[in-house]
Amino acid sequence: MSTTRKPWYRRFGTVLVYIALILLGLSMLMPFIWMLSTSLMTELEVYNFPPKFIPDTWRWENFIEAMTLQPFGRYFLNSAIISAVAVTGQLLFCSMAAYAFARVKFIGSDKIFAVYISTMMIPMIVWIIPAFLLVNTFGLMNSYLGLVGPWISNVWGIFLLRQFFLTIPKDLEDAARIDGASELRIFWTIILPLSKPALATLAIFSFMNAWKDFLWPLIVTNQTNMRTVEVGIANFSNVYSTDWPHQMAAAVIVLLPIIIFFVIAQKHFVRGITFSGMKG
Amino acid sequence: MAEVKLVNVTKVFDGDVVAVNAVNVDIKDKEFVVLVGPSGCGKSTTLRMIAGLEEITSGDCYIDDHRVNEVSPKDRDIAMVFQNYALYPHMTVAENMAFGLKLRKYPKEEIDKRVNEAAKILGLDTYLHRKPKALSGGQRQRVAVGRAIVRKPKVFLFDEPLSNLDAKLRVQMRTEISKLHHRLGATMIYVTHDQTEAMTMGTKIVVMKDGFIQQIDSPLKLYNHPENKFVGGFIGSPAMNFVEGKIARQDGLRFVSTEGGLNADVADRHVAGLEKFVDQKIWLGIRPEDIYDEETRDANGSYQEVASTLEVVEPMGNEIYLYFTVDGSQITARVSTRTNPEPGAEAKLYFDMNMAHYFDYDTERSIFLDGEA
Repeated sequence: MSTTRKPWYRRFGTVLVYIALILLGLSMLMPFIWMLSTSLMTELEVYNFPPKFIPDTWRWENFIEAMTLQPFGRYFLNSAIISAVAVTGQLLFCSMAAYAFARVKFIGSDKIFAVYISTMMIPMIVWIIPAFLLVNTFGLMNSYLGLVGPWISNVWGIFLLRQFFLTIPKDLEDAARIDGASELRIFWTIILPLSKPALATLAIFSFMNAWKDFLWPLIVTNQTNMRTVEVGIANFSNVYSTDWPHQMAAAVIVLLPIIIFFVIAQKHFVRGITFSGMKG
Repeated sequence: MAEVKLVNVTKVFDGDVVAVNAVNVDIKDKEFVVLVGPSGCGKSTTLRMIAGLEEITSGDCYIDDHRVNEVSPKDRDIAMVFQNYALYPHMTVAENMAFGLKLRKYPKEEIDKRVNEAAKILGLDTYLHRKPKALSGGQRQRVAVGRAIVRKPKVFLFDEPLSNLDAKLRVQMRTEISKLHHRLGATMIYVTHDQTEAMTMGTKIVVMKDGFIQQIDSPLKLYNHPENKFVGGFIGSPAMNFVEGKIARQDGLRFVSTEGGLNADVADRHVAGLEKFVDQKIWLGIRPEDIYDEETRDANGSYQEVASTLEVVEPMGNEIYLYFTVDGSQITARVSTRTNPEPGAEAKLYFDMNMAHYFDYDTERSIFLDGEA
């Protein structure tokens, strides 16, 4: 390391960059801070003007009340079931489909893959009504199958894993084939263990998407006992008013699993974002 | 016992690219056969067809008199070493070697015994619990070889196994694989683009080009009696020199290059064979070591003197390469360090016409096949 100091304008530039980044970071944190402070206020305090961040008395009861005003225990169970099935289903089906697209030669594989990819360009708004009609016709309203059906596989996941599988040297498979491995064995003992980063990425994204999904559960359920946490949070609002403190208290609690999941999988998550070139 | 036989084996990719064209090879038990040729000559494809990794478009492949065209790789009793080692990155060295045996449901004691045995032979004893990532290139190569040995297959297949190693390691591994061949007494088929590896390792060499076999012979036979111009130029380093010219009759037969830069008496042993080529175009081939300079020529030999300017002089330590041109063709001579030539100097060079090779101008086939001259 050189001991000579950088010229003043360079150091000044660095300071400016840091200030800008800190401001940006704080602005990202702002909504969370606001959520947390609102969750501890009384309903009247929320409407104070000018707004304040620190409540006069911290109403911890808000959290307990939020969980009991609605059957949040049931909501959590539902969300957990949906997320678990979505993660398991996507890991299993996406990896198998991706392996087929990456390695198995079959007629029209490229064209079929192109069709798959093209579906990624269709926004949810366009397909959500046909999908609802489908679920309704099958009599799957208010059922787990109806809730989780559309998320059990995912084209983006197939695409992600296929691209990853393509980077695994083909010689590895040939070596395994000569060693006596069957196609399924190669997939299971060679390809999958080598794809852990990609699988972790897919697991994280599919968990987040399933957990924070709001529109689909809202549409395919109308019974309270089949609703999910996100729908529960929304239920604190009605046409005339919103119960802000309780809604924010519920939001904080619902956020916790994602934060815990993130902390555990942080390493993979960051790697996954850089790997997939996509942001959450 | 393991013999491999290819009968008219052909591989066509995508309907019209012929990678391997009617190849016939007979590989005997315990032979070390090297498939050699420039990239794209079909040597790797041939090996992969023997392995069963590539389908055979037409023709038959036999291992020990069993036709194996439709037999899957795992049932052919072969093992293969890949160019990029193809070690399973998530398994330790021991697991890598044991993988094939485990899939074949060998008892655990037997697996351990074989893995330890192979590790000892290859000097990998202390690395058994490492992952491939923590090994050097040479060690990885050894693990790849070990994975093949533990299976005790009938046939070993090597697909350019040394080309990712540095020059020094390559020479070392070369001798190790040769030693292994003697020790195991197994049939080995080895693919390389490096003619030095082919010459030093093979008991039999198959030279390929554009999907066709050019010549199958022992290393020395290949060197001394190349059947065509391609083999002459491919085997040997530095490569054989070629001069274009024709045969003229002036007091006996003479080889005259296109612009007369080389005008040499044909050696007695070549006269009869070249008689029917009088006034026809022909290729003369001469190896760099058959060209001498003033100091190194044997006073009694029958040489043709050529005066030229030395363009490049490369001292190799034990010998010197001299580069010059004759009628526009680049010629390399390999002479002893007794001389001390300067680049740019005028020099007299002496072609030993007795050692010359002659190739038909159009077919490029050797005029003296089977060493009859």
